[in-house]
Amino acid sequence: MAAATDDAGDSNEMIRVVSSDGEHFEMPEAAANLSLVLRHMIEDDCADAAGIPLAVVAAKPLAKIVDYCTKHAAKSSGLTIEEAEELKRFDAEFIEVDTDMLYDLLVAADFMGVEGLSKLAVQRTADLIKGKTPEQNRETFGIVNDFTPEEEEEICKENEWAFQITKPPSRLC
Amino acid sequence: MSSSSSPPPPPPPPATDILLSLALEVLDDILARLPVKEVVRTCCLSRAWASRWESVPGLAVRFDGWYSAAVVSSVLGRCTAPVGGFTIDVRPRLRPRAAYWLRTLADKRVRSLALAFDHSHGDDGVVLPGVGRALYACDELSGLDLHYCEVPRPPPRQGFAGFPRLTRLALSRVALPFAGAGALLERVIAAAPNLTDLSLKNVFAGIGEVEPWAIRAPKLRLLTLWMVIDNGGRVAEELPLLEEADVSVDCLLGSEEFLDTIWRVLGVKTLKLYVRDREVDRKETLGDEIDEEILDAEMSDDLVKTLKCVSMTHIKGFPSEMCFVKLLLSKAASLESLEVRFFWENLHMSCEEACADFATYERASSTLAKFEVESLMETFDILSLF
Repeated sequence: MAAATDDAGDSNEMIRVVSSDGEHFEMPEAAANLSLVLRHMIEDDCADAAGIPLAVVAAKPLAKIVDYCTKHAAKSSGLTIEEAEELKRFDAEFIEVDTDMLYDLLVAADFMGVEGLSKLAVQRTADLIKGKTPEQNRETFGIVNDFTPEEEEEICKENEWAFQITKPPSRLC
Repeated sequence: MSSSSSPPPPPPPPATDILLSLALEVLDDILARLPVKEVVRTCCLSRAWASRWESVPGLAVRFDGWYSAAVVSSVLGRCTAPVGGFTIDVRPRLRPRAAYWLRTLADKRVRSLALAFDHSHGDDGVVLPGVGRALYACDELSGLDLHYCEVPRPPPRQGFAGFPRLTRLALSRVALPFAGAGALLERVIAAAPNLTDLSLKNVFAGIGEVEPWAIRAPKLRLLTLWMVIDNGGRVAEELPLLEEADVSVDCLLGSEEFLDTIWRVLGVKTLKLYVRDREVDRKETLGDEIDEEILDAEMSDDLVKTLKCVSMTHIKGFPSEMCFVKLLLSKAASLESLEVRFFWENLHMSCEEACADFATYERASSTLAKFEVESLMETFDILSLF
């Protein structure tokens, strides 16, 4: 069960959610409102004691998402510079996860419509790809190279410039 | 060489491509955050990736340093989705290609354009490289940066309605050599209700006589206005959201219009005033006829209450300049920093004399932490003189 902070938003009501594997979580209404899907459910009075079922979100990522929303809802408006920095640090630490969890977060944040988390996970993924060799990226993301060596050579040649390190020729223009 | 007893190779990675199993839009979002070169490089990951990059909407296509024209054309040609941005340094030899790229980009609904043309030894300083009329077809632009080029007249038949999504317009050393150019600029600025950043550095509009035109941009936050030669453009109304102004309007020096421009931008937090005029020794820089009383009446406490940082560059110690500093100090209650840089010749009063005067001026601001005067290589800290 994720711990809820005591200073989250103006509503004290707790919202219950249920993961795809049947675990129950609760978070303040202000935190749940950060998810577009949950907000609509709450507005439509679908939030009851049994909890809102989230069919495609397993307990592990859901626990993280509840943490994320609770933290961000508690610090949503009128941030001081220090608070904004603290939230940034929280985000940076929060997203230091393995590829499997990152994948789960990407999917769940997209499904639940948690915009800030989506952005965070998307940027983290982009950062993981950046500056890596194709082989490193294949390894990180489970990509199987199904090119024949000839095909691979050809496609690399076709896009040769993208594989070159930019170096100005001796004579410009 | 490894022997036959070397350890077995690591187990193969799981056979699910994590990235390709994401929703299309999520992967698009990830890829659009990468430099274009890295996105294209994904083509060799696997067969499924071979042309995945071509359909990523919003790619930021950027070429600087060395690149070949064929590569630019090929990348633009292969993008099947709308292009997010196109940033390029156009080398002299590639100038004719720019028009072609623009046509392609207009078709790809480009959102942000930054074309910087390089100088060539062959340039005569009068005719600048042309930018191509396809610019007017890029009607989804939210950002437009042009440097060192000539913008043609809009095509006569299709009515050009401006760039309604524009939030940033930055023109530097740009010429619009045709009648009605000022009116066109006025229209482009007014037709962009969300314009927040406007930078006009030495924009030459029109031919022959200067045609007046107005800058109306109620949402502007940043304004850079450098005018060595008058192009007719004036700030026509209040800019209530303006935070930063960088103004150098030498062509208006000594006229009431100069002050009109200054009053309209005084409600900012950061103000940079720059006198660039080096050839003419003006009698006055901040105005010929303007005396302290008029300045005093025009500069209300309310007008300057938000000013935090002010820098004035190339002043010569004329009475109107001294008076401007005096009034500013006495009225700008939130002023944190004031920098005054003196010109190096034709001074009306020496920098030392001016500093002695500055030290006697009354200050309204309790937050003033920096008041420095620079002259040649010397810096004077006025606060220490009080």
